[in-house]
Amino acid sequence: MTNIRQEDLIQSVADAFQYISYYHPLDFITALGEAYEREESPAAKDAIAQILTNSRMSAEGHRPICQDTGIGMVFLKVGMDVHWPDATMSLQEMVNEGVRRAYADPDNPLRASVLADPYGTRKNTKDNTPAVVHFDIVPGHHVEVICAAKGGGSEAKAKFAMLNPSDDLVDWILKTVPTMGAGWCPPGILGVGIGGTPEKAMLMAKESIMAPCNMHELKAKAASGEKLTRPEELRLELYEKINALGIGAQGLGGLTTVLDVKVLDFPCHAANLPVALVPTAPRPAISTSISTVPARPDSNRQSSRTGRT
Amino acid sequence: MTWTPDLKSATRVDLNTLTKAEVAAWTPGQKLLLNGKMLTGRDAAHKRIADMLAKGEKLPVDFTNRVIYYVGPVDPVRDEVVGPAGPTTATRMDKFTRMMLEKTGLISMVGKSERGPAAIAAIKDNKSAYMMAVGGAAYLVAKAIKSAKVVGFADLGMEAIYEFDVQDMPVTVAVDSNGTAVHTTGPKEWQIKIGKIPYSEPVAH
Repeated sequence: MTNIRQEDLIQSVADAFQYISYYHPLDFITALGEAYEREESPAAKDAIAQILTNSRMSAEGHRPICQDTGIGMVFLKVGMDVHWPDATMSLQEMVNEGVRRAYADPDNPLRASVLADPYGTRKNTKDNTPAVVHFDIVPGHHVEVICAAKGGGSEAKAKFAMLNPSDDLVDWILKTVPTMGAGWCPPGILGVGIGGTPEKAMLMAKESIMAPCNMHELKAKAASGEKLTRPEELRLELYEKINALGIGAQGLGGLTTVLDVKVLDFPCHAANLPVALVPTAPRPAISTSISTVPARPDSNRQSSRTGRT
Repeated sequence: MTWTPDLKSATRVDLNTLTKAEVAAWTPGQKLLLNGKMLTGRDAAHKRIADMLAKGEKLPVDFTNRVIYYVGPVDPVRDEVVGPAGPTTATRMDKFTRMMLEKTGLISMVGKSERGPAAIAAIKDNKSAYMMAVGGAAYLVAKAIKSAKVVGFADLGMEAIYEFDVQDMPVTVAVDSNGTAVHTTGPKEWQIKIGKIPYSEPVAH
């Protein structure tokens, strides 16, 4: 049994949201740097140059990469052997308190973008709460926390379709991506959730983009002749074909539209083929993970999306 | 690699003296460096402007011969005049574009990403133009802003109307006064150049 103090979870969440507001993960910057080197379209190359320069300025200045510092999204994997001896709040309330603390940080205040009463007064909650929290109860004595601050521009481009089982899923994606325009700030990462139920597909698409950019590893694996899983085959096919659409950085036309494509799948009903798309961009749509609270994230936090200690 | 404004490839524009004729002469894909004063506004401000004009009320700011920047900035700290302030998606303002161009005196707009058919038609009819800044380069753009003050709808917080004074803010003409849109011509050109997928006109949004 591990005892976890309420304050430790709150501060870890707060530290994570501060951190991701000004640091891009290394895997993302590496992939974007390679896209810059490859790019032949002058307009797209100039846009990527601005994004890379901006990234370095943000890292140095500890100020947000993007003015849209997102809505807080937290994926919690809570070990079944974890105990909360001093908790007065629910886990959702602890996460909200962490978000509140991060967004009001006097050294680096973040933008409060969350509005209550969404189809009414749309009043700003002023502290960017509440966060959207997804819980998993897992074996073990850890709590794993993945924090993502995803901007409204890329969220606006999320897509879902309930295809027929015999439909061509790749074809649907290639028809759909151009309709997403440039509001998700390509080049970025496309998350694809296939199967399950409608809400499961959407959650998988979202969760898939928390993993690091590693298309170069997948390409190397394919080149070596090693057998690919079906999701891996799809990732490669979609990566090649989406980039062949020529959308390019900021939708200006160019060689790189996606730096990576992520696919998660799940069994589904015989009558259905649910598919969800969630794009993410070179912005605070990035997550960090903290494990085995209590331990300050400074000591074990990874700058990678999936750095799990 | 460090991006800096390039005066060889970009044209400096003085927003304080900008005329409709100058805007109408811009060409698709032309790089501009904006200098001078611009107003800001996004979803909530546009909705309120539309509601006020419908009721015959006077707006808090005069948009005549002005440029609007679609942005919701982060609050400043220390010696900053404004926090990171990159463009938001212009497409969401499409349904207000004709109203803004025909009823407020606005002559041009800055945002990110493509415009839809309604906005492009309004831009063409009014010999206006739309400029795009790079989404995701918010801190870099903020460095071009030399002063910022709220001039209307202060209760909207980051969605208030600000006046920014900018110096060499990098933008690209994305829809010109003839309605030519680089977000259509660019991807088409590159899809054909890459040559792996036959080009077909995209489905309407």
